[in-house]
Amino acid sequence: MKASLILAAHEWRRLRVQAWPWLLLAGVVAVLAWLFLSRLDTFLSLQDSTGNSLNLGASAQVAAPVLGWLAILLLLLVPLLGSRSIAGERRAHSLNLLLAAGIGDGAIVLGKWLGLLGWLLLLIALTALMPASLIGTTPLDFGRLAANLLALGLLASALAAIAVYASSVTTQPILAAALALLINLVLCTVDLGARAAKVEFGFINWLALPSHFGPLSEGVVASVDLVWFGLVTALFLALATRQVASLRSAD
Amino acid sequence: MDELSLDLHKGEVLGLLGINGAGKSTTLRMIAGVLAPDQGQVLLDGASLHEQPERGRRGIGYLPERVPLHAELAVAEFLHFCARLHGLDRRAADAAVAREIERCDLGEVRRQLIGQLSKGFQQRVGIAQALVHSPALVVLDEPASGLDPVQSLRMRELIASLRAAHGVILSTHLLAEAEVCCDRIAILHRGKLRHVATVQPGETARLEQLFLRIAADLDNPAEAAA
Repeated sequence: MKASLILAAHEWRRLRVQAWPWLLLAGVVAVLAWLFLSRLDTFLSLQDSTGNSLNLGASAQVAAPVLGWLAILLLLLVPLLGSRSIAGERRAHSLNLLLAAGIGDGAIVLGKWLGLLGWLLLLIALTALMPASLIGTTPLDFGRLAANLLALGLLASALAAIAVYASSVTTQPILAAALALLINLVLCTVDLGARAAKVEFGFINWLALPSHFGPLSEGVVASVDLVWFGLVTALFLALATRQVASLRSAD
Repeated sequence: MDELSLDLHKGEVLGLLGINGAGKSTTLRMIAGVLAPDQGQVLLDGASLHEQPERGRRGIGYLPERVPLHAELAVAEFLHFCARLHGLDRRAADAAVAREIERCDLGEVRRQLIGQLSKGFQQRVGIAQALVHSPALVVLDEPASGLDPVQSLRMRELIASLRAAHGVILSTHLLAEAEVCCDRIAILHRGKLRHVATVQPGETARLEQLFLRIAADLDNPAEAAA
């Protein structure tokens, strides 16, 4: 575990000293800030015109939509951020450094995942500052906000594991990003057909990401949803570990 | 690789000699733990590295043919990471980085980004990362490859200086390099160990003849028969 943490800190440092992760981060925060201000403007206008007789809450009207948009952006952003984690190392022939360090394939994958997850948690924390800026000006539903942030954290965890796995199967970061995006897309749409056929509680629905992210982001924290995110994360980390292990027998 | 058995003692430099595709890099990658052998084992002080990878982590330093560097980091920062990865704590890592920067003559570039360094400096950073945790065994895959004559000379001097504290195994296809750096050479061909010889000063011609004979005999059976 110590080796994984050292590797995670190193991954963080490598992201920190490059321009493109900061540009992606800045771009996403700028888009979300614009959405936040736009929703806030609409919220204030509605309050002025109705005298808050509709009993609208800032958590539901302003914070939740912004955090919801972050979830959508994460689906696109994480494949890009994670695409180089292992593929880039293989391409630069620097994976040998880790393979020869005797730290274990699982520790390598865990370190890569933790480093990426740290960066994503920074993005979530920066976004959370937007609704937090409303504290003291209007009542906020802190329970729902906490559930929202939990949902985003779990989503980031699963998407980071998928990105690291995709990055372990190729030496081309662009292909890794495309594969991770494809897996994300499949997880989001796997039950579309079932829903169209009015099947809403089948196994296929359970497989779909929105079936678990939706309730969590609405404030309903159920263990089944937590387990789903945990399973997806563990599954893709295990697959990535297996993939890295297979590199030891390929020459 | 097949039927390969080698031993190395502390203070000794062993050179793996062979033409391209002989199996030098594969052998070194197995010793370093990058590749897992189908059969057989690598023992360090009698302990199997397959069963105790942690020993390898601390006991082996490896410089692959293509130097594994993180171009976006400064030299000292990268070496510190390598030291920590091999199990050194922060304080010990600081001291080790300072020592290797001194030994590998990297002082003037310690704060520069690795990606901006010349090939010679990058190779030295590669050697420094292999030495930073003071391993008992240093594995160097064509350490002088791609260097100009002056840089090659410095590299050979550096390798010779490692003898004092480490066992060194290196691969090369340059006989002159083997003669200068190595105490023994092992000639590989088509994945098999063909010959092991002690290197004596001024023996380049004999080694060259031996090396070419082994390669030619096996590459051209008809010529060998004639």
